[in-house]
Amino acid sequence: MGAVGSGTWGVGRALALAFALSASALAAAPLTPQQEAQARQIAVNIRCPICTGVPITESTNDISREMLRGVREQVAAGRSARDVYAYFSARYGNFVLLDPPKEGSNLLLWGAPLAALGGGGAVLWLFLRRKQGAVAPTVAGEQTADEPFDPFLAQVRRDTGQSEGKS
Amino acid sequence: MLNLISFSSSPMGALGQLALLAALAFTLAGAWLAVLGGVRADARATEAARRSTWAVFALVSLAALVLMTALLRDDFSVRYVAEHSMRSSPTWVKITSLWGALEGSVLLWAWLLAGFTFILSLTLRRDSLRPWALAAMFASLLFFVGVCATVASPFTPVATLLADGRGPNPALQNHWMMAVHPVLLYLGFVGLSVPFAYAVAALVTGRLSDHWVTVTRRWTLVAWVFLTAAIVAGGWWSYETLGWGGYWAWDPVENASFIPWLLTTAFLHSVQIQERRGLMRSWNVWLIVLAYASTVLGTFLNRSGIVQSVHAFAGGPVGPVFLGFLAFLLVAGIGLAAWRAPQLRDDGDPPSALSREGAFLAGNWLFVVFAVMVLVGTLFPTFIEAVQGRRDASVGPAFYNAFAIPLGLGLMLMMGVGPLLPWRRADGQTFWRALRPLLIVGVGAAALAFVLGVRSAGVLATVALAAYNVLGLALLTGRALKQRREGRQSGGFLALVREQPRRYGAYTAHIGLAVLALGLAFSGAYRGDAQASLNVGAAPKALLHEQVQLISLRQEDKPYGSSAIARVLIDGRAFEARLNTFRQAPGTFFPAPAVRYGALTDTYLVLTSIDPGGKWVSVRLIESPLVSWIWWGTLIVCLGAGLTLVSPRQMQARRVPSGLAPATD
Repeated sequence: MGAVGSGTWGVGRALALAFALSASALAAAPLTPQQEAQARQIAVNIRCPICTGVPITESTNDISREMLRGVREQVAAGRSARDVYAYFSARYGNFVLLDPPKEGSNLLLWGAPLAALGGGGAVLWLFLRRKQGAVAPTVAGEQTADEPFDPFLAQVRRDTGQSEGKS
Repeated sequence: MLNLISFSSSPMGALGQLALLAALAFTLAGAWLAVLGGVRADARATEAARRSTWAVFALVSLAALVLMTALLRDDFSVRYVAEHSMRSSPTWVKITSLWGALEGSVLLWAWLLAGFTFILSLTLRRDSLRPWALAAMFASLLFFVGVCATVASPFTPVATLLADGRGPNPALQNHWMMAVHPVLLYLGFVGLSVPFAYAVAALVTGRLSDHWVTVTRRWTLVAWVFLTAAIVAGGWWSYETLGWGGYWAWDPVENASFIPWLLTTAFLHSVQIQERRGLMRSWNVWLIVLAYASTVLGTFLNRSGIVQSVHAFAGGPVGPVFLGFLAFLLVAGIGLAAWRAPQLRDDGDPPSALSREGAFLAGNWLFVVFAVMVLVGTLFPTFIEAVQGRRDASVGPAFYNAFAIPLGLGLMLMMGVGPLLPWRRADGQTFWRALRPLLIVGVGAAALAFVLGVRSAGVLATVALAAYNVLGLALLTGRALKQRREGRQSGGFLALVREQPRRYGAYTAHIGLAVLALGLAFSGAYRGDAQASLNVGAAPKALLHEQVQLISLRQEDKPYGSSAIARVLIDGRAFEARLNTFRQAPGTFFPAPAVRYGALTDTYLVLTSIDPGGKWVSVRLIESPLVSWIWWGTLIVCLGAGLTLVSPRQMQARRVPSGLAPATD
């Protein structure tokens, strides 16, 4: 397994190098714990541009490391989440924004569930409000939530012409 | 044109291909006979269609058996084996290769569908729905067997015989869960084709037979259990192999399996309104049609590559074919429902708001909104790409969570209200008296959690609602036991469950969901995540742990690949995390994290990089609370749902007064 083995360690070396680079880059910008949390919160919503659906915090490739470093620098410089998102979308397109801003065509996205909620709620309300027959409240004990339902038993009762009766 | 058969170069391939073509012929004949039987009310044609399903099942089984044999025998004259298997793979990987790539998974799908059709042919009653239910099953079969026998045939001959195959997708070889998750998912998806067939039959004939509700409910419930298990098994696979310590990423393909789950869960509740009250008939048919269409949509997304996903396999020629089938389903199924469903009239007045029907319908509303939200989020990037001509939008967890959390909490609220309410109409005061203690306990539980340090609003709400649900079910059960004692009936809790398996099965499933919800809330909100570089011997602190020490780093070679194994002691407990690489993809690493499952916290160690000299490793250490509650909660849900399938007839026959007991039973 010599060939496979060398492949293993070869890429291991590349990964190790990438890690060493990013470690030194991270060391360059010390952040307070609050800033650290803020940077993380922003970074989980920025997508790695060359991966499939993974935020830069979950990716180990160079471009993600670089972008993560950019986020940390901007947070250190006191820029807001909005500024950071604007910065990255200007460079890589809206594609990298995993938390789509509520503007432009994205309003369709954010509005659709709300429309479904409102529309569905209205339909349900009208349906339940429709003409109510004289349905008396179910008297406790007569047909309570505890009565078992058995279609077979109901059928037997229908067939024998007997109404509700408990053994 | 495709070269489909070649006897001389591949006897196995030719046998499998012939079996599929014969199955296709029987499917076509069966579909025609079934429609004939329905249109002319010709019992002989219906019977012939019914028997055709046996031939289809036998022939597709033969094809599946041939492919399995070819995989196990390393018969590389069969294209699928040459492209997706290799000699050095372990036997279990060869078996799972059957569904590890497109052609095989379509064959598995066709086989399960043929099997379900076969079972249906034995259980269908002789009524006017029968030919049309068969015709609908044949329509689905026609698509899957057709695709399998032509554009996505696993048996097309290879031009040159290879000494070894190209091997399976290594991501699927990395964990045994891949043997389980796809099969469960297909069982769930395919299982929904039966209720769909009944829905189509109801729409075509414009009537519902007496047992329509019973049959659709049972089949849907079976499919729902498989779907639930499959979705969570997929989450577990992700947790155990993807190395990010999570289980759900709102990936398009995950979403595609979740949409049918939401719609079938809604159906399982609203169909009970039809069962009890004869209401909501057309709505229930709609839910089934949409749930089935969403399974096909899910498969289309999975297989076509139009969405970016870690699951999406290479497209090939099947994308357009699936799109065609989806379009057919949407136009025919939804068109049929839109045209005919209004004919399925309800018997009585609409339900009142304060009743179990009302609670189920409010739940239905939230489920459907949930499904719409997930669907819109999944398709939005593709929509934008179609309109603007480039990929310019992504929808990530931030969007989904913004809706999923409130909707999930709303559903938990309704889940607690439903069992408290009687059918037809509740008396407001009685209901309020029943609800009050639950609300008090819920608020108390949230306050306790707050005192213990929980600050996230979502988690507090989940704790409150979980306590409220569990207490509500406990009180209802306690009341039933008390009534039982007062009525001098023998037996305790178990006798109660035996007599009313549906009720207590549902209660069990609800408790499982409360457990699951707690797992989701805590693991989502309180995750510790640290990265560290470990040198052999040194023992730094990391996360909550005093000592994280690298003991050794070694390499292990197997015929099918190799693993780098780091042995790490965390506070004295040994972890063995691996980085696997497989022969068919040298240079690509697949992490196998070491996970120590705990009742309260999981400790999760994954290697991110390793030193070629074996002196150090970089690790990511993740601590997530209550993750195992998700797996245990799902198990409880599935057991509860299974309990509701236990036939109430056997259980309750003895409750019938002796003079009324049917002679045959």
